[in-house]
Amino acid sequence: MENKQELKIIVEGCVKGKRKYQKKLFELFYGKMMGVCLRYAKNSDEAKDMVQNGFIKVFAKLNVYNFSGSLEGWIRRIMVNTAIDQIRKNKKDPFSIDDDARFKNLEEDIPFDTEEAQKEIKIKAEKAIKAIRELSPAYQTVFNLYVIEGYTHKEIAEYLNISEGTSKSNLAKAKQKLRTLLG
Amino acid sequence: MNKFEKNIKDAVESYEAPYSAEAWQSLNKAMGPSKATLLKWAASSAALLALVVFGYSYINNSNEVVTDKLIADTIQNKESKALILNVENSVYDTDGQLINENLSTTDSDLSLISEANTPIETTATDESNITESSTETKNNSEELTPKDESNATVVKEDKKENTNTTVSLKAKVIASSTTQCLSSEFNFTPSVPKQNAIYEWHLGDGTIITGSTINYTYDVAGHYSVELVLRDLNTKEIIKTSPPVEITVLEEPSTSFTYEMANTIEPSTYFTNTTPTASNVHWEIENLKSSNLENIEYSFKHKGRFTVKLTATNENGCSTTCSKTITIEQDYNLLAPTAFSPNGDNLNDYFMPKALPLIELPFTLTIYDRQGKLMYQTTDSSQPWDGINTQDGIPAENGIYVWVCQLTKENGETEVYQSQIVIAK
Repeated sequence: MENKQELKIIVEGCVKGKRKYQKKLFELFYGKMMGVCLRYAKNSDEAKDMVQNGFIKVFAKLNVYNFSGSLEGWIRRIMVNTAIDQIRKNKKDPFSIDDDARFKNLEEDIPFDTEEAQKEIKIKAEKAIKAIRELSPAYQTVFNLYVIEGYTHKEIAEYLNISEGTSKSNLAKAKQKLRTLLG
Repeated sequence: MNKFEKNIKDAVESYEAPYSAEAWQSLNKAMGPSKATLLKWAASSAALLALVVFGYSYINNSNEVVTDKLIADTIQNKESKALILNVENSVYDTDGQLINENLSTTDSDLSLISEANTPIETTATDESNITESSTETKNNSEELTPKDESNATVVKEDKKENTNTTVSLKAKVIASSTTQCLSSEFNFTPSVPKQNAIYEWHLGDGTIITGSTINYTYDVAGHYSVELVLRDLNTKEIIKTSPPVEITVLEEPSTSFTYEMANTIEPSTYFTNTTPTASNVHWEIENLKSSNLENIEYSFKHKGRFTVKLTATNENGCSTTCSKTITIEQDYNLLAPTAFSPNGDNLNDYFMPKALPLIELPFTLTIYDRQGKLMYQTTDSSQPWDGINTQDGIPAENGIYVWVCQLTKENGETEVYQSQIVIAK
């Protein structure tokens, strides 16, 4: 990762609206954020959309970023919010319905690169991301928010406008499904 | 989190998708024309200044731009005037030996030369020196400027009209904390104090306060954007507005409780927490009792005024305290009568505190005369004193006697009550 001062220069450049710095920021964080969005999206096209919309928000809001927390964490939160907004927009009540139908219709188009050197470690992550994506949106989102993002059930319930109980049961079912998929 | 979850988390968190130039192309297109292209001049000079601030020594390579920009700023600000002088001198310093010839007459001029050779950021912060040298060397700089015939003067004229804002002033809000409970005070400080400007704080709730550093307590919980606006000392025009700092003022519980006194055998006061949003409570009855239970009960044994405090904490972690003073009118003395008449008329012939047969706790009741001589002792509430001295079997005379009762509570604690009883046959 770039050092803090370089990041600061990049951020200030972005705040000024300079395309060159925006590109730099994009290059720095695209990979990580694509990784995040892939977990929320149902296919890689949707993930690409999420990343693009997320970065537009990032550029619009960068002027309020005050360098108090990590920039990556800050961008990541915006990505997660964007992803959830997008899921919400695309479907009515997406988080409370246990839509198991999707399990039968898996997409196999994950565009992971499998460079020889990184193959071993990457396959693990790919496998995990793929398995998470095979969950229904309700399970997928709760699993992502709870296990990876570290939200509490209470926060998730408020955020997704579901009950805490639904959040807990969706998580339990998500884990169960993942065990079968990965075990 | 179990191992299975952690494995997934670890695998997924370290994952980075390969970079896609295509994705950038698409984003670039989606964002439309760059803001920077539209504001090319302003942005580039601002970015350059940002670089200067970060200690990049671009001064030597891009003398012209920096100098031009700073010249433009002179119109607004004395402080930056000093800055320009220094920059210009350094320009000459790098271009040739002119400085020495022009400025070597007095001591103060010499000190200026050394100033001029230090990096810009140092001179900019050292205010006292700057103002001094700026007045003393004004003439020198005016002599110097025309010598750079090629472009500096020309550009200076051009940019004068274009520059309306001064980018050299820094406006950034430093908040003591970005999230606090409602009654806590926020402290806001500028990242750079003492610039030549009026510091005006826009607190996001409609309040505007002027001052270099301020403390403020919000009236209502919520999210606020705090901005620092720098205004020109003379024209009062806005020079610079800071990026907003988002702060969160957390709701506090409105702590309250009620109490009720019940005068049963043992006087009990019942305290009930009535805070709507408490997730935690703590009771404090002077030095007598403390508890974290939702509702509590306490028996005041002595008359007096007692302060009862309830501190409630809500889910935000904010807490407030409600305090009430309770007045107890009478000491509690096991409901003992104050007089009896052991004369055999079947009216008030015996003495026994009324509470003792009712509470059914082990006790020892002892009665003394005023000289401290033992008159009677019992541990049985069905054996009241009949007014006869048990030592010699002689009925006690009219007068005042003292009784002491030692009571053992359910929890093993001992309580001692004592008072006087009058015999009036």
